[in-house]
Amino acid sequence: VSEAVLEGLLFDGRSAAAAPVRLAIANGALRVSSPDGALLREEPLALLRITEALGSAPRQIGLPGGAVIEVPEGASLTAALAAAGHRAGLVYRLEVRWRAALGAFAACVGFLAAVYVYGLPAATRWIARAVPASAEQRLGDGVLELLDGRFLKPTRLSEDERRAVEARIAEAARLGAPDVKYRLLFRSAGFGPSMNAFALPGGTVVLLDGIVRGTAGDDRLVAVVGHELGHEARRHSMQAFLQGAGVGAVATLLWGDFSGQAAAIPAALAMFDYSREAEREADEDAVRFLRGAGRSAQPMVAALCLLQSVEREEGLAGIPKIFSTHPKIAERIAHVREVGGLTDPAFHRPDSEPAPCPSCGRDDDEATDPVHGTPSRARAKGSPGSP
Amino acid sequence: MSELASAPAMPPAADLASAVLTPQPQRLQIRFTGKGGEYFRIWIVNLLLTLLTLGIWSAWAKVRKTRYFWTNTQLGGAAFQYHGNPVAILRGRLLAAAFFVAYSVAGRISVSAGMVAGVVLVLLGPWFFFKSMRFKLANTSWRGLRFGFESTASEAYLVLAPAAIAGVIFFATFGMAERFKAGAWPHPWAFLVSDLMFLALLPWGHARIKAYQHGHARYGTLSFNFLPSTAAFYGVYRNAFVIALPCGVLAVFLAVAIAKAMVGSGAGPEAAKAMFFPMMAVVYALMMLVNAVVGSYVAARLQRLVWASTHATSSTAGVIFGTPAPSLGPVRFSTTVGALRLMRLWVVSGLLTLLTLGLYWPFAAVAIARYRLECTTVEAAEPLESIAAGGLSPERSATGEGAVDFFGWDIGL
Repeated sequence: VSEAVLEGLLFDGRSAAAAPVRLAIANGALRVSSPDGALLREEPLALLRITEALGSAPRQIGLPGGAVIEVPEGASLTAALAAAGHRAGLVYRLEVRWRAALGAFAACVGFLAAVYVYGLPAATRWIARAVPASAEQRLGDGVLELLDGRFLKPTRLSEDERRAVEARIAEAARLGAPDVKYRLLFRSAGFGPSMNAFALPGGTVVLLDGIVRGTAGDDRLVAVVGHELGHEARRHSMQAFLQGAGVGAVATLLWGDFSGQAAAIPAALAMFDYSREAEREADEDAVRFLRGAGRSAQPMVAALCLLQSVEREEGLAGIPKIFSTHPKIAERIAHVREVGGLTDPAFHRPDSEPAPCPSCGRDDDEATDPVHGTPSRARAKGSPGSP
Repeated sequence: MSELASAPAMPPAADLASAVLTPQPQRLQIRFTGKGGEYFRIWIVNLLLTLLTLGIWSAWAKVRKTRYFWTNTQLGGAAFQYHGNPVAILRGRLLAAAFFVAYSVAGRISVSAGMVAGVVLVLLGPWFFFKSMRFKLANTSWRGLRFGFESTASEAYLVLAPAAIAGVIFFATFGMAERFKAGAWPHPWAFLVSDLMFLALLPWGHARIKAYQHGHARYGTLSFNFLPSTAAFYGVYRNAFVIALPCGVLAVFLAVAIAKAMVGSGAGPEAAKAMFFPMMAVVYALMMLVNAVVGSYVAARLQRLVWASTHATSSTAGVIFGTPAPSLGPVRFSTTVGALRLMRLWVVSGLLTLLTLGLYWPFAAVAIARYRLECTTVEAAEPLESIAAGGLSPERSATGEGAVDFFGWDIGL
């Protein structure tokens, strides 16, 4: 039984006046005495409200009736209470040890890495699938309304051209992706690159005139639609929205106290990485789509080559579109070649080489990819107050 | 940072005794006894718990972190204490999160739904603000007595009406901009005029909010009041503008010069593209530097101005246990915080925090708090011991506090 004597200040709770007191803990009770030794109060420990220990900071003891005793040497009160059998809480015990703090740091890094690699993708995939189709449809309609109002114009393709494309896609989709419900829309770009196609939440695939003309409506367009249907089937735009929310929340948790601006940088880098993965998945889906429809994977490679060559022309003229969310096209071409070769043992070399594409093998800069899967930037512009 | 190593120890016994015994006019300096290493351990352990509980622990973490700063802040030999209830804060944060989700989902469904949600949020702002101030002050104590915030929600709405109107206009103009077709933009004068008006009214609004925050604070029978100082707020903002302008121009020139030097060595647009990321980093660093220079000036000058304008006097109406409350001479505050010192502290803290990917932040937070707090003194014409408990009811709902945390609306004390 310890009889450590502690110094404290007694406040009666009715005025700011203080009286110096001596404290001792014995037999499950707190004895409060004046500096000259007169016993002022004796209270059972169970009736006291003692603030939790926090490092070596002062602690306060709330006495029954509203009086408060402040103990400047918080650590010695913690020790005296521990000696009397009242051990401080687990969180305090972790907080005061450097070894525990370093362990916590390692655990934070490990946990964040696991969340980044497995947790967040799995969770957002699961939630995105659980979102009812009608809600997703409404979301997509909202985005389309916004795009139609500001960025897109009615298509300039003729009725016949559109019919031909629709028929070709319908035939391929019946075989290649029979489970995916989709709707094709034709638009022309108000401004910006027109060699583009994108998927909206809820199964809407928008084809811009540029991509229909550029691919001459052949199997390269089928490959592009296969890519977009991959985004649809995997609900990538919904997933990107959820991932953005998750990444933003974690970044704010980690760096928000320091600077909101600084927290935005790692969040943007993480989203960049996630969207590369989404594009890779959709490219694989495009290959699967083509093979399911009885075609070779070659048109996907050709489509990517086409986009790459267009991009070179546009990229030189315009500002480098470095904040594109897409992986380098050269990498994607290599990946599609690999996947296209692997998924079908019968396919080793395309019977006819694609249209000569000087830039295919070369490493190109990152620029806006016309096969635009997730129109997240357009959406962000439209929602008021988005940071 | 050297001041971290030599963290001041607990107040010596003599100091403690003098705070208790001397019944004469006092000039008390605030002392801060927090230590960077100690706070780092608290911060990292609570961060881990927050991550493991998917954010639930953040309310408890907030209380522990706030308590660390309050309880290491000492005035006249006695520490401040924070009594916020983590469960109440968690409830507030969940409510704020629900609002936020509703707002962002509305914005994605349709522009007008997003606008409506934004306007609703702006209209709820004053209420959140009021509740937050009450929660914060009612849960702070010193020498066994609680602080308080004596106001009503309707008063908060009256004070914050200009800010709320500005917010509603902001969302309304968003809606107007949406109506313009692609390529067609509204006349730039409209935006320029509204921006200039906003800038011109900002100091006035800031002074108004500070006057509200400080003018309604209570400590026992002590009532705080805020001397009219709108002109001085304009002075601080004008000087900040005068500093910001050449800094900004210089930063732009520097950025252009560096960009030229970087690109000049390579050839053609390909080289320019390769240099894009490093250039962005340079521009970003310059931006943060200008931010630190101007921000530290504003922070230091406003801290001085705000505390010089804050007085506290004993309310004479109180009668305690049959005897009239003693009338106290005014309690005054002053701080000697220097813009240059604060700027150096900010720049060093910011750099080290960036270089350590955030690990230095707890050390920086303690160093900055130490400097800003220890610069401040309280002058009381009569002993503070004679302050008696007031009659304000304790505040238990933390809805406003949670929302203010969540949306980052805290304007600081």
